[in-house]
Amino acid sequence: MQQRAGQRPAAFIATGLPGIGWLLAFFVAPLSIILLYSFGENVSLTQVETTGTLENYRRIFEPEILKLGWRSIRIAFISTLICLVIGFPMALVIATSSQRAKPWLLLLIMLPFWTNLLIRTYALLNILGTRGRLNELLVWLHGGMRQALDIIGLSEAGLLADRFTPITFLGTEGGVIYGIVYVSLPFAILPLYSVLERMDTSLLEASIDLGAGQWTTFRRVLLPLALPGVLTAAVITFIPALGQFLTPDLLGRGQVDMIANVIERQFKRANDWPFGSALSLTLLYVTFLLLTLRAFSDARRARRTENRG
Amino acid sequence: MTEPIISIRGVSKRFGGVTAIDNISLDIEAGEIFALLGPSGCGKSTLLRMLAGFEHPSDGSVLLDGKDLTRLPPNRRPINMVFQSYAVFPHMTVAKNVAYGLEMERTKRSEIRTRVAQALEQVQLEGLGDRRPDQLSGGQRQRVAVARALIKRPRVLLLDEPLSALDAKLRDAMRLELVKLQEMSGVTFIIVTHDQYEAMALADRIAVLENGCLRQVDTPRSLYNNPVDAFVADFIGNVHTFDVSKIDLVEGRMRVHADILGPLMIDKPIPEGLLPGVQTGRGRVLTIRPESIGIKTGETYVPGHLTVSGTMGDIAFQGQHSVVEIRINNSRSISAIVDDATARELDGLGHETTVHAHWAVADMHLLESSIN
Repeated sequence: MQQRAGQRPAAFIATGLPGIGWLLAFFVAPLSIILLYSFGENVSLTQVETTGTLENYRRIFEPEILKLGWRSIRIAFISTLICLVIGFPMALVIATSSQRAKPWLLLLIMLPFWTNLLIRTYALLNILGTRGRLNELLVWLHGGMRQALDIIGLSEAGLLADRFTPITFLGTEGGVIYGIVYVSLPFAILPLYSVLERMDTSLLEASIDLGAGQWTTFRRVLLPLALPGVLTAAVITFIPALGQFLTPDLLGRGQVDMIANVIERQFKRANDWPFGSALSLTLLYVTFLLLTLRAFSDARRARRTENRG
Repeated sequence: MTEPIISIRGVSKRFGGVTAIDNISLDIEAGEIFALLGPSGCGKSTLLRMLAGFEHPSDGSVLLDGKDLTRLPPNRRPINMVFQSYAVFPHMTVAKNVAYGLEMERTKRSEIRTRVAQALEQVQLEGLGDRRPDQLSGGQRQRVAVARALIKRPRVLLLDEPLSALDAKLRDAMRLELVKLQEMSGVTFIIVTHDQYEAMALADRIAVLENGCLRQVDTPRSLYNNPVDAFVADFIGNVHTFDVSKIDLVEGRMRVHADILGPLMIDKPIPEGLLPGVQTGRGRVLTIRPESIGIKTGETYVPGHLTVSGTMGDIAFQGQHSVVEIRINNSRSISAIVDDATARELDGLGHETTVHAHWAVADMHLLESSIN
C-alpha cells in the first residue's frame, strides 16, 4: 500500500486531502490551542496569555485533584472489571448460539447505542432514585419476605427490620459505577465476542475429553486464548470510563465527581482555561500511555508468531 | 466369545425432526481397529461424538466393558479422541499439551515428566517438547494429538478422519504408524472416515453407514467380496451396476434379465421372497468390479464368461495398471482395469476400434440396489 501510494503521489494527495484537512482543522488545531493554553495564565476574564509557566501542571499534584484522579481511576477500573465479568459470559453465549440467533442477539446488545445517552441516563435516574423502581422492587421483596416469616411464625425473631429503608444509589460511587457499566457493557462485549466467535470449539472439547472440568477448561484453555479480546475489551472500556462526564454528573449528584467534571468546571464556572487545558492533556496522556502499552503487547505477540512461522 | 469392549445398543439420534442415527446396534472387540465408514452426513461423526460423550443418544445406550456409559460426561470416560482439526492447544508447548491429560488426573510431576518423554518418543517427536504448535507441521501436530490422547492409557481411542488433512505421501507413512501404535499400545482404535481406502488399509473391521443406518459390518475383504447391497459394493471399491428388469426361475436356477446384458443364468442363492415364476427383480442390480473385467480384441469364447462389445475410449495410465474405458452405446460405458502390457497393446488401437469386454458370470453379484 505504501509503495503504491508513493508511486502515485497525486492520487494519494487527492484521496488523503479531505481526511488530512479535517484532522488538521478539527483535531490538531484545537489541541494545539489547548496545549498553548496549558502553559498560560489568565490575564483578564476572557484572555489567556501563554507565558510558558508550569504552574498549571504543578496544580495537578495538589491533593484535591490527585484524590479525584485516583477516584476516577478506581471507578473506571471497577467498572471495567464488572463489564468484563458480566460481558464475558454474554459474549460466550452469543458466540456459541445458532447462526440464526446471532445477529438478533448482537442487535439487542447494540440497541442502546442508538438511544441518546442523556435520555438513557435520565432513565437510570428513574430506576436508581430513593423512590425509584429498584427501591420499589426491594420494598416489595421485603414485604413478601416479612409475610413469609409471619406465616412460619418467625416474624418476632428480628431477622428483618419492620420497615425497609430505601437504599441510596444516587450520589454514591456505586450508583456511578452502575451507570458506567450500563453505558460501557456493549463496548466490552463486542471485542470479547469477536475473539470467542473465532475460537475453535474443538479445543474446548479436547480439554474436556482429556479429563478437565468446565472451570479448568475455562481457566486453562478458554481464558488464555481469549486474552487478546479481554485486553481490548478492558482498554476500550477503561478509557471512556476514565473520562466519563455525564454519568457522574447526573447519577453522582455532584458528590462523586470524576476528573472530567473538574475539567468541565474549569472551562465553565471556574473560568480557568489554562488549568482545564493542563488537566485535559494529562488525561489524554494517560489514554495514550494505555494505548501504547496495548500496541506494544500486540506487537510482541505478532513478533512471536512471526518468529515461529 | 469375548465380551465386546464397546457395545452400541439400538442407538438413535434425532436433531429436531432430522434423524442423524437410526437405531444402530454394533459391537466393537477389544484390541481391534474399527472403522466407521460412510459419505458425509451419514451419521458416523455423530456416532463417534456419542462414544466420546459430546452427544447423547435420543434412544438406546452405549456400553463400555458391559457398563452403561450413556450418561457419563466426556471427562469421566476412559475414552480419548484425536480431533479432525487435531485441537492442539496453541498456547502451550508440545510437552504441556501432552502432559495436560495427566495433570487433570493429578499425576505426580516426576511421573508426568517420564511419561511425556515416553509418549513423545512413541510418536517420534522426541526433542520437540519445547516447541510451540505453530512451529510444527500438520503431521507433527497430529502426532501431538495422538500422544496427548494415548498418554492417558484410554480403553478406546477415537480418531476423526485421521488422514484426511495430510498430503498423499505423509498419509501412507501415518497410516502405517497408526497401525504400529495400535499394536504397541493394544488400545482399541475407532476411526471415522469417508475414505474407503483409508478404512480398508487401516481397519480390521468396517461398519458401512448410509443416512444414519448401518448397512454392513465386516472385515474389509468380506465387504469387498460379499457386499450386502449395491451401496456397500460401490462404496467399498468401485462397481458397475446393471439394472435388473426381471428374474424368473428355470429348472430351479435363476434367469436374470439385466438391461444391456440380456438373460443370464446366475448360480447364486435365490434371494428371499423371490417366488418361482413370479416376475420380480425390480430394485435389484447385477454388479461387476472393473478389476474383474478383461478386454480382448478378437471374439474368442471364454467358458463361463459373458462378453459385451463396444468401442475403445480413453486410457488412464496409473502406473502399474491402467483404467480403460469401453463405450457400449451413447449413454453407457464400462471401465476395466488392465495391466501395463495390455494397456500398451490397447493404446496402439485407435479410438472407435471395436473391442470386447468380458468377465466371469460367477464374479457378478445380484444385489439390492441402494434404497436411495
